[in-house]
Amino acid sequence: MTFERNIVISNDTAELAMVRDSVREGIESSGFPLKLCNRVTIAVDEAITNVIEHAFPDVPAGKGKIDVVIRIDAKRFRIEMVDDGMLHFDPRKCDTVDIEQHVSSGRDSGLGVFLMRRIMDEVEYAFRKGGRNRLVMVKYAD
Amino acid sequence: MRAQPSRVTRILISSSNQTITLDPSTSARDDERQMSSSLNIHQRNDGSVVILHLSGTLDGHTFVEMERAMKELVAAGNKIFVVELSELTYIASAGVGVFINVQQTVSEHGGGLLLVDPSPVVKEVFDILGLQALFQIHSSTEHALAAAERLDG
Repeated sequence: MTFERNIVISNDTAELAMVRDSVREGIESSGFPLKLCNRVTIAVDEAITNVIEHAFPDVPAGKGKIDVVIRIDAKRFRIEMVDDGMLHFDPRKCDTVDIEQHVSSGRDSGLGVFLMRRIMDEVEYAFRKGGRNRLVMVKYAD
Repeated sequence: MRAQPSRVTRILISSSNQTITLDPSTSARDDERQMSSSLNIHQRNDGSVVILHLSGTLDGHTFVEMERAMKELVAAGNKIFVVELSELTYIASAGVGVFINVQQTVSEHGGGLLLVDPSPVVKEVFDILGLQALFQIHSSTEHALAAAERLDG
């Protein structure tokens, strides 16, 4: 059974729990492997957090808008996040993280992008000047 | 710079004789809405070791309060922490970052941050990030306290 949900959230980290709950509910009802539920939830949570942190530098919390579209079936998890923020966040342009060196040096930035890249099979980003930022992540069952 | 939350997450910090609610104005509706995004921190001491029992979620929203609590404890001179994670149902990189920063700070002064019994979701994040290289992760508080004694010595 295909699970589809469209959510509109604001640039407020208080919204993160609701998105995580939707991801879990969708995976549980779609036939997508439950063993991947935690990992996919983590990647989505980190992606939304990054959008909230980076796309709205001058917008008060609660005033920016992010459209989230989740579509899940037994073989594929897909999430699309479109925001109207002024800055774009492109996880592909972030430096590759050497996690061992990273944590041993006490640096904590970049861990979210590392988790997104490590967990998801596809991370695609599109930015249109004067338009909206779009981030799509896909995870396959196999 | 991380976005600041528009509302204070409900944090309970309780000691043996005291429970403090940092956001007493939280409405019943907010309680329901943020049920899965609240963090409770319970503190007790064993000699010079600070034992923190975390329950709830440590995500991009609640990490702010965890960070504040840890900074206050470190500023007060504490340098050895045992953090119980069995009832922490979620951790994001922002929460991991708090642990990394505290570990980095206290280890420079002979201290340490020892983690105990992470829940499956938390353990999964630790495994992906390879945090075994940075933290001691113990199966029980007793084992962690024994290791803490060696640090203290």
